[in-house]
Amino acid sequence: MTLDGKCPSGPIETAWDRHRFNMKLVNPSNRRKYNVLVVGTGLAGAACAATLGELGFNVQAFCYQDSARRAHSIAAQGGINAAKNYQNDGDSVHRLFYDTVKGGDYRSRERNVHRLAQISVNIIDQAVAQGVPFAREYGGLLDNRSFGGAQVARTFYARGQTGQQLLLGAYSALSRQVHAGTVKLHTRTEMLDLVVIDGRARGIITRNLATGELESWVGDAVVLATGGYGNVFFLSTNAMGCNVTATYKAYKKGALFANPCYTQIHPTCIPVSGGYQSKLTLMSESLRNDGRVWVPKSAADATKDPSTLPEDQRDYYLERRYPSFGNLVPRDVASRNAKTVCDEGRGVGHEVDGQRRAVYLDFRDAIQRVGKSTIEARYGNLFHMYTKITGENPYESPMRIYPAIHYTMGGLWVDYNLMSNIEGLFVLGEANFSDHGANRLGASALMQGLADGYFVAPPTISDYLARVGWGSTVTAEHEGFKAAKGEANERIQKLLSIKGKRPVDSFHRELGNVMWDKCGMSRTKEGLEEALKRIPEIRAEFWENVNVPGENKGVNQSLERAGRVADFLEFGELMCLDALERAESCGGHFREESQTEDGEALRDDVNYCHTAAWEFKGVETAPTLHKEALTFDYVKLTQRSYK
Amino acid sequence: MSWLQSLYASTIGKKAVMAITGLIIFGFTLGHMAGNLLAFFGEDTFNTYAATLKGNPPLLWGTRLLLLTVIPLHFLTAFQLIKRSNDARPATYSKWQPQRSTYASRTIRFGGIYLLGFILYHLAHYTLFLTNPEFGGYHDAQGRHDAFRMVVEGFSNPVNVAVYLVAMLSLVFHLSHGAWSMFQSMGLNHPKYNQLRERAAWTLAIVLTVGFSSVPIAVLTGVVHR
Amino acid sequence: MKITLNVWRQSSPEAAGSFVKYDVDGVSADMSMLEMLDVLNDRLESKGEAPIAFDHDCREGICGSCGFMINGVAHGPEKEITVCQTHMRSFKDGDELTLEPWRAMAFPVMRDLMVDRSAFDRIIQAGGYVSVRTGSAPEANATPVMKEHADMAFEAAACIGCGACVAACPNAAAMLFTSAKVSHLGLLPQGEPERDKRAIDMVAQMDKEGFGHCSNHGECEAVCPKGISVNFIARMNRDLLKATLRSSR
Repeated sequence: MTLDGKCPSGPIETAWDRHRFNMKLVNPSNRRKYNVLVVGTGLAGAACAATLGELGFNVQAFCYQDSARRAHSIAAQGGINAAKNYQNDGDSVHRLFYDTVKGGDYRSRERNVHRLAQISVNIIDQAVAQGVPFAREYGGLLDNRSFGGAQVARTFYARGQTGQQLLLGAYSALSRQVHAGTVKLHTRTEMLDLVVIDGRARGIITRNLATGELESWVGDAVVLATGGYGNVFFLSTNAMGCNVTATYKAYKKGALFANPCYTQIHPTCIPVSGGYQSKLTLMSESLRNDGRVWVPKSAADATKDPSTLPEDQRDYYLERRYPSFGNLVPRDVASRNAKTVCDEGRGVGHEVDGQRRAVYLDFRDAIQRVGKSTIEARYGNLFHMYTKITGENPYESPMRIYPAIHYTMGGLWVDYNLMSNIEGLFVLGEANFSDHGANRLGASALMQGLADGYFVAPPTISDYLARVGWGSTVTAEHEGFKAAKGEANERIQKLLSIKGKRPVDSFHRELGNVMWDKCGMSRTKEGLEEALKRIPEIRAEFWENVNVPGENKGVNQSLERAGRVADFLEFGELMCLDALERAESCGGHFREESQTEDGEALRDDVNYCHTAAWEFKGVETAPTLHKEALTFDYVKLTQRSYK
Repeated sequence: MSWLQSLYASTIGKKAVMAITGLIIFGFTLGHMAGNLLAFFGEDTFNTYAATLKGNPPLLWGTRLLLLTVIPLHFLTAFQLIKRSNDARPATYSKWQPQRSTYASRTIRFGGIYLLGFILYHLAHYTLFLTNPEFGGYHDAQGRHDAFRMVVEGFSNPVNVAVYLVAMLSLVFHLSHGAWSMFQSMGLNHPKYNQLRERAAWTLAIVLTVGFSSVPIAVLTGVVHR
Repeated sequence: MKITLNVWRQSSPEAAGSFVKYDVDGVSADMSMLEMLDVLNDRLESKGEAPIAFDHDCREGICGSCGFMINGVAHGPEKEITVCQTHMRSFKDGDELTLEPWRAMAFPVMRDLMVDRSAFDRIIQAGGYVSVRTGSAPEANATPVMKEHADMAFEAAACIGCGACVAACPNAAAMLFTSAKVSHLGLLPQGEPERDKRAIDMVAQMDKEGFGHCSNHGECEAVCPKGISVNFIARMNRDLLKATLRSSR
């Protein structure tokens, strides 16, 4: 299989416009004849469903939550980037493009990223018109802040709830189309399988989480906007329900999974407090704008009250090692450094499993400099959240933070049109692999989700539909649907019939521990090989010893979780395999074997300047690797340096 | 459905009706109280006041008609809202802890029912003379209806006074929440003046209650006498 | 700590429910309320018993999925947080907690502590949006918005749609929820053209769903995890009355 990204050639600045002009259009009166299935109602899914509905297509939208407004996009705190240059500080589309390619450690497609930077400005216009209450200045114009190490202030924000406000904007657009009758919304509905007929994605099988009923849905195109797979680690900042099932099932049906090993660790999360922990809570990294990260110089001081430690006993290790970026180094750099100091025994806070895994984020100096009320205005809600979770007051004593899995850059392989290698299967937002390379910059996830959903997918899907035409004879009675539904049902019955000794979560936790230890912040060949041996064992035990109580009727949350965990138990293996295969370090993927003398990630552009896309060959059979070479015509490959 | 009907059909429209009728009743009550206080100026002043009202049928019957519309409407709407509220929560909580609501807000409907009973008694007592037929036959030296004597005799009975005072106590609660609620239901709010609304509600409720209670107490304690 | 739970168990929307008592020991003060339920559920699952069903997702107080009554208070004793952020340090060893689902005609119980809040979605669908097609938006800075209005709009827009306001309201009213959206959009110039229509349509839908009226108790504001003010209710009342008086319909 040769992977063709279908990127338009010619000057990058006009590539998207030229590409759009070359697309086929669907006559307005014919649009209602097409059915599009959109799975997931986060930023990308809701925006895409709403926009297709506005155009007049027939849309069926699905989400597992009880309302489309609850998708995990809602939890994004910090902001959304856009190359508006409202601050007159030298920003431009080209600079945002450049920063994103560089930030992604040169593992993304230049042309996709350039389009993203171009569209970023339209997103802000759209969101403001929808009534998204972005922060404003006294003059009534939009305010910006610098975020996640960017040297320009291009981030638009709505206090610490930007994701929520943008999602509610997309949800309102979606609700408008539901009211108009162009979108039919199916909540508490989980996709269990993709139906591919004659090489085209033609539908999905879903389970109604309220009744247990399995249903078949036929469409002319299927859109997956189902988010990332961070929950393979069990503990992550993802919502409890986030899962890999939709994309993994598509992978099993032939869609290629690209770069699954690219995961992002967020440096400012609240540390784990005990073995019962169900999830990790992220605090916006905007905190690093004013907070100073440190640990005691000596491991002996780790248990001391931090306020008693004099200045010369503290190691502000980020400021020391990266004088020009200091506390604002990119996420992966900040995260790895936290791990390093904790591995040296200088971690602070509670001891969990024999190690202290936390560093201080101290606002003492900032409070002295600008006053408590200014700090409260900037981070009040984050401080409030921290206090609620830890019972400590960050105005008085420093916060404790530790990195956690936060975002996954890998995902289903898509071309420039966001279509996977399966015809008619479009993948949007975090679910695809496209724009962030090996590392995502802060405030870029919201940008990509909305760019895909509002502006990229609707025209490319229209183009696809115009090319395939309407009036297909495929119905839910087709063999392909019957077989997929049968398989889904069989699996549910199997899960329910095991009635073993262990609850679902215990397997998830076990898998998560292996993933975090061996395929987390830093990875080694030995560790990954060990994980590849261990995961099939956990999976085998799962299928023999899991206990899923109840039946497939009505609400059965154990059954929901069991299905998701079963997929994670296969997917984790794919991730480790990809991480093993990529023997270089890049972005969020750090192979200990590949580092500079200073312990920085060392890329290997000769052997790994490609996207690794995996083709499913069977659960117990190794997948086939396909490579899409990456070329860089506009951004010169350099070693990242934040010194 | 006309816009007025559809407004009345909505919960917010019904609350507006509660507010407006409440305001009218409140306005009347304020005037009524002012009139009552004339009892402190003695028989002549009080009877002159009563005679003036009687001698002005458009004012008297205008007020009466207004009240005969507004009071039933206030109660009818209240009953409809209570039914709606009960329907909105068919299964109640086994445990419920109030967080912000006050004694006044939670008892407003019971206070209202007591006040309805009280109004009927009050009408039977001093307007229709059903309880005390002899009141109708009292005349003063100038041949006017001796309203002053009626009031003094009426309030010489401690049981009567108790009924009135309990009514005034429920009025203070009813109004303290009702008056504030009226601002809220009509959408009269502004961060700068919101505190003022609550204070005004309490002040007016207390003024009314003290004003109304003063006459029966004054009679019972002999401050006002014939 | 040891905590005794009195949990509402109801196997389906049609089934009759009842309270079931559970003793949970080994509870840590650092656990969240939902983590404590996870621990209990793991124990129930290991025995092959049905775990307690409850809605939850983000577990950081923003998605609005979770919520139930803890000892008669929506989202429990702590102010301005959801149950997922309520930590067991808010309780003492030996405490007995009654967990009960939101109760309202418009929020039918689906199972245990899980209720159907789709009525909220239908209220938004009735008009909780600005009718702007993708691509038709003007330049973002073309319309200045007074900072004070933008901030106030944000405060209203912070609503997470959890339903605690309905649960806590003695009349099971959805006024705080509806008014938050009416006010959020009504405060911004972008929402102005549809302001009257929005208020009328959303209130009509809210009434149609069977929610009660507002008695101005303020219970909703007290339990709202985002601290949304009842001032927005007054604002919506004003908007609705004005809209009814001046609209041509």
